[in-house]
Amino acid sequence: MHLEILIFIICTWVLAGLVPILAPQNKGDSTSAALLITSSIGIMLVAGAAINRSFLVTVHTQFCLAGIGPAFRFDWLCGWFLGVVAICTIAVALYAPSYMRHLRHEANARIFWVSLVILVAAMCGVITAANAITFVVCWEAMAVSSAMLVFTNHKERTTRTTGLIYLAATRISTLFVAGSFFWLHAITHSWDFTAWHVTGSLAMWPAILLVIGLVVKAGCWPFHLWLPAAHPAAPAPVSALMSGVMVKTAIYTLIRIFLVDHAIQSPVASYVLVIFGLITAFWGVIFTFLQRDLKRLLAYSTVENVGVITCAIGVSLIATQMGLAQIGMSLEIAALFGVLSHALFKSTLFLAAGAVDITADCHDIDKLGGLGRRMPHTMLCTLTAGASFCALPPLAGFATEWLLLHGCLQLALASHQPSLRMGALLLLGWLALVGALSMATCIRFIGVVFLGRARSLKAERARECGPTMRVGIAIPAVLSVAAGLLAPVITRFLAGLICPAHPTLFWTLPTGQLVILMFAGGGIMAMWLAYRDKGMPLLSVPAWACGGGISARMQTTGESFAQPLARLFGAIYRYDIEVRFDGSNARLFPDHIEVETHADATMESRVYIPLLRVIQRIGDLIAQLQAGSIHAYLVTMFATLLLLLAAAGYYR
Amino acid sequence: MSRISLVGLAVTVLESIIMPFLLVGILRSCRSRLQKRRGPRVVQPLYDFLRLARKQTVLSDETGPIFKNAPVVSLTAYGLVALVVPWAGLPAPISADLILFVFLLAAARMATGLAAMDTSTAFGGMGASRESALSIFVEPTLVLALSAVAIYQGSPWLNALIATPVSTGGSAYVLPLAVAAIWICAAAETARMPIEDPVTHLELTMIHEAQLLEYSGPRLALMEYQAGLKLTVYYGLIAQMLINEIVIKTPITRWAATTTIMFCLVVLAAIIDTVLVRLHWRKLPDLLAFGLAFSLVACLLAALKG
Amino acid sequence: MNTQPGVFTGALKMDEVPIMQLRARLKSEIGDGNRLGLLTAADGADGHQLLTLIIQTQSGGVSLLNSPLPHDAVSYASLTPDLPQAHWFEREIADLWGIRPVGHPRLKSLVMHDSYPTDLFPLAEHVTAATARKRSRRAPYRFTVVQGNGVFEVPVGPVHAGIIEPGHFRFSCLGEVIENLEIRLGFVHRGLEERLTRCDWRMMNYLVEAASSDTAAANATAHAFAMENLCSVPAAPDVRKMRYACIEIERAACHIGDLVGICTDLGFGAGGTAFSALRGDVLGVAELLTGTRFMTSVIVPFAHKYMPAKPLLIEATRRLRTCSSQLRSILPLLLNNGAAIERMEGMGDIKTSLARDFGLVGPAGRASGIAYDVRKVIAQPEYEQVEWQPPTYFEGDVFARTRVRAEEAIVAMELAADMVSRITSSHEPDSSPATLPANSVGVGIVEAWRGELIHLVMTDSHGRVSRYKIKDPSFNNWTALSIAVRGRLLSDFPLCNKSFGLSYSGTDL
Repeated sequence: MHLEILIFIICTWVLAGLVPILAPQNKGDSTSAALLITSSIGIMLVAGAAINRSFLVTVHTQFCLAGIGPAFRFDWLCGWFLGVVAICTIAVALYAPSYMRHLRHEANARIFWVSLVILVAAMCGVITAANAITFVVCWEAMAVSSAMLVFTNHKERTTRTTGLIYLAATRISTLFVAGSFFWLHAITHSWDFTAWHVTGSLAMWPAILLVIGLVVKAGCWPFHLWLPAAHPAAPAPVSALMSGVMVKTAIYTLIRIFLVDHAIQSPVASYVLVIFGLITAFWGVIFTFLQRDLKRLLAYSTVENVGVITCAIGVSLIATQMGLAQIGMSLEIAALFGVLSHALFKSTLFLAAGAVDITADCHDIDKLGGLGRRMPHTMLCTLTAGASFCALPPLAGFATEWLLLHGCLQLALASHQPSLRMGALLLLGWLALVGALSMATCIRFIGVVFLGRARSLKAERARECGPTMRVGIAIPAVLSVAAGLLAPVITRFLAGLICPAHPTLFWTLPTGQLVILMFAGGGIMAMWLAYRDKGMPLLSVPAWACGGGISARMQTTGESFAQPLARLFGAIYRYDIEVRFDGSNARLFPDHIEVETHADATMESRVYIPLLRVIQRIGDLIAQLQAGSIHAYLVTMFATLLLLLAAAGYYR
Repeated sequence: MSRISLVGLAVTVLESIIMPFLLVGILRSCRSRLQKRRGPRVVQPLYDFLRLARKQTVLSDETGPIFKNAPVVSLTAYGLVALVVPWAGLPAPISADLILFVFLLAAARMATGLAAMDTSTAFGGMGASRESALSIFVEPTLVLALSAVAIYQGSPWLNALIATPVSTGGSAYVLPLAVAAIWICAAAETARMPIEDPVTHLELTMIHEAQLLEYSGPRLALMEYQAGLKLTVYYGLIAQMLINEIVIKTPITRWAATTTIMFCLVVLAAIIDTVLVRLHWRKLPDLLAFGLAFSLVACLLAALKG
Repeated sequence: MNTQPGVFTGALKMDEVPIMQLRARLKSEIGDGNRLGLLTAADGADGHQLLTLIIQTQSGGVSLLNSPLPHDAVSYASLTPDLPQAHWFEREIADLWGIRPVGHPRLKSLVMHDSYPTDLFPLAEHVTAATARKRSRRAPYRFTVVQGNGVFEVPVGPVHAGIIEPGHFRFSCLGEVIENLEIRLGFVHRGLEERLTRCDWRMMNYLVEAASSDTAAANATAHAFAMENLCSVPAAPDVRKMRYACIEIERAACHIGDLVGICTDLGFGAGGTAFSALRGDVLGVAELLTGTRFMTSVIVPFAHKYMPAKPLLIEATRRLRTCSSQLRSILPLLLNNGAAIERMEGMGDIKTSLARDFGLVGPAGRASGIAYDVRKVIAQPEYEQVEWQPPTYFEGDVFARTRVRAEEAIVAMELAADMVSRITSSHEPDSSPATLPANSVGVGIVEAWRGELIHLVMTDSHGRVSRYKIKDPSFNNWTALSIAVRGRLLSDFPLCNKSFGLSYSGTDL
């Protein structure tokens, strides 16, 4: 039965990839999307089956690498992640055809669809890979196909540059992951994940290599650069898929190797994860707060979310190592739930940003504004997703954050070491800080883009997007409400999966009572207001214009909203406001006043660019050797010969 | 549900209706007396509420649905807060932890902030920006201080504040430090001196109030009531921590002690409102950082126990 | 031709300076340390003329320069590039007279709002409602737009949350930081100067008191001196003492009132209450001496309407001394309050050079190191009985202005007590002439609580008042406010504003 579904899925994939190639330009979009949705439903079925009972699929083929053929394992963890992939793929597939129609002139839809199908397939492959070789192959396919997708809009120069940055990041990621796998193979003499059980001092270096490789892919600090570079360049559905699901494959691998399979047990790795996670969350959110580009903003917020999830995994590991298995498990649930909730709200946010981008043809938030009036549906979905992003009860984001914070609190209560207790408390405070910052970000993002008055003609002309796009945006938003409300059920279910022997209740909040009270209280008040408004209709009057005309300039901007906090964290951004007064008497009667804010992506300017410069210089030096001068070649050859001779003589 | 908790529920609901008006009334009356003015009657806030509730709502045509519905959302959040925090000296009807408490506060803050942005006015956006900037201090301080208390009490649930007389043998300074931290948070959240001047009419200096400038009629009434409820919950919470050290046997004495302390705290707030000078905007982080430092030290002391 | 308007010496004559030489002349006068008192226009023999009043700070005299414009000329080379303090004067002349200063860096309307026709110049001609309606509409006023991404504008006023006068403030901000502030006044421009030329000169004191009602005593006094100067009839010494006492009481009351305002803006309720009570006491003294708390309708030219009896004077002296010592005792509440000082120090500072360029007057000028005080510059024997110095600071910040005000309030009460105690007679005869002299000019200059206040009155060949000009001290200081808050935070504006304590109606004449 499973095999039939799997074959069916593969067939739909192949078809979805072939249709756009064979069909005339831009004609196969809808068919391809429909096939992708069908395959996603199939993936969900498989996921359900895998959760129910795990099974292994081995492909016997002539093409083996290192003597190992492709093998796929389906268990509950794969099921959970496959479900996330399927949901996001459905939303994206619904959304993409109309979206790509807008990009008709800039992008090649054929390459887009083929790459999209390969990406989805490769992600499923990574999630289900049973051995390291399969994993690395799928990992590479995922990297290449997603890079192709980033290149979709390849006619723009910036896209090409950012695409290259992304490619470089994936190379580094693969390098570390592969290095770690080789190391593990050298220790265990096996490529099979289930066969790996490395502990003690032996585990440290492969663990660290693996963590680095995975956090590069996940977009953790200080390797987060590719995220804010790639997302603004990529089409919105690609961003949604990459940010919502693809970075989660790295999270999946972390959970798989460290938490579920216990393939590597290294205390160092867990602390590294926590520290990476904390810095990443903070770094991501403070840069989110400063961004003006819609998609870059969301990309940085992905950095933050990934940080929080990474941190949850790390703390879970620490708790487990301390012998507090219950708490460790609750944090593991937090990480799993976080993957789901982030995939849901981030897909909505990216798809909504894409809708704004194409209808308003603008992604500078300080040129948007008042879109809520023109795109009420998009705003409602964004608001829901934003509330989930801010972890407001009763949405999915809250469930994640509550599990994580409550887990930390329980850890502090249960642990016997003062240092661990203090560490857990500091973690709580740090996450609260990140939470507060992300809410400031969310108010800024929604407030500036969707509320207020339009700041440009483009924003004024924006209209709601088409029905399929709206459905695509709405699906994850609705699901994130559902996931939040069903958090008690879902967590209990996950607990049953993780530890079938002792399923424990982790969700200890009386959600039912709270939700009933919330709806009752809110409903009574809303009804009272409606009754008041009916009795005495709302009097809508023109806004007070201060005796003159009111303009779109008379409302806060993204830059201005961010200024107080940006100043507070100014040292990190090197934030600065420069004012220039010009004119014949600039001191007393300036004709022209211009303000400019400076902020710096510190990692790029302080670390990466100098590093690149050094590499460039080394490259230049090497290039001089190959300058084409016959004399230089002769000298080099002669010197090499001499050196070799000397070396041979010395060792003999 | 046991009889105690039923009575507790009834008393909590009743008190959360009466106390906000009463506390705000006492606060205003005290402040006036301290400034040698006669001031309004203690029940004036209630009359104000009823007056506003009867009025017609006047809206600017620039406002949208978020602005219209935000009072419901934020007051619902505060209503839930009032039900999960044992502020009245009785066990809260719903058992929850500090994290739900903090995130409910955040929900209310987000609703108010977005409503302010939805007014399309310069003041609204300014208020939302300022409130967001302050919240990045308030939220960690609150979480840390309450966590310290939770560790001290040995339970993450807020109702533990009521239930257990201290027996864990932690440092006696945890609670006072947490109280100091939460007092600073309360000052920031309830727009009190020295963070915000509660009586000012100058929009340019407002933080929280700037977000509410466009409200009128029943919606303003809800927002004003919400401000009172916020004050009540915070002061009730502080009162719980203050009497935690004293072993109080019966629920009635505990309730009476809580109520008395809340009134005392309100008088203290009135005195602070009168004698302090509002801090410069750029000095606010310094003050709030004090709160953060108090809560960190409280955490440290709590972590070092045993 | 020099004269001393405080101590009357004789009729004021005008010095004719050709318009081409005016710029050079003013430049050298100001370079010598003299002050530009006022700059305005009037009808001349043939077309309009510019009038310039210069106050000689060394000799204590004034000189009045008139510069006739050529017939039909509607423009002249602006003085502002050399003399920044002339910029509002020139804008006002352009608005009310239609005389354009060519080369003015900020030529926008000052008092004429968008609803007035473009070519309506109210002082240059007789306007009726019917003729006004027919004319072309004015292009909308344009506020300076600060360039750069993310800059937003905060419009405040003209209707404010408090009970204050109408003025529009347009802040261009980046976040909390004010990058530019443009102040727009003139919302209740009343045509007072024109109205003064059409009323009976015996009734004028009621109108001038309304020029800026919180400066009623000083306006009435300046008016009285101007009229007496015009008619060459000196006022009796006791009348002068009474007038000066009123000005000083007004000064004390208003400064204390502004200290209340500063406390309120600091959110310092306790301080506000203390100062507010004291202000009531000082106004009580005013009521004792004049029968009204705001000293209206008693100060008239050529006489004083109501000279109190000796016991009242003694009581007033006693109460003034009490108030003064009370103020001394409660001042530390504000001035020794660390938190308050932290808010005020370094806030909204105006450097001495800038204050000099814009010709700041009064407490704002003295806080920025400009010691100019009419009471010291123009010899006034009443002020020389007591040893006193106008407080001067160099910081130019809110704290300096607050200290200047507080110290001035103390000095003012002592001076007032001294003057009241020296009044001997309880009745002064009315020495008013039957008619005003023809083709004459009179000037009255007093140090009102906001600073130098000038009234200029001119008569035509029939002895009717043909031009009446009031220069309120705020007129010099408004620009300083907008510069003081540049680069400061939005939330600092109210405090800066209150520390200047400027008059809207004084400019909306």
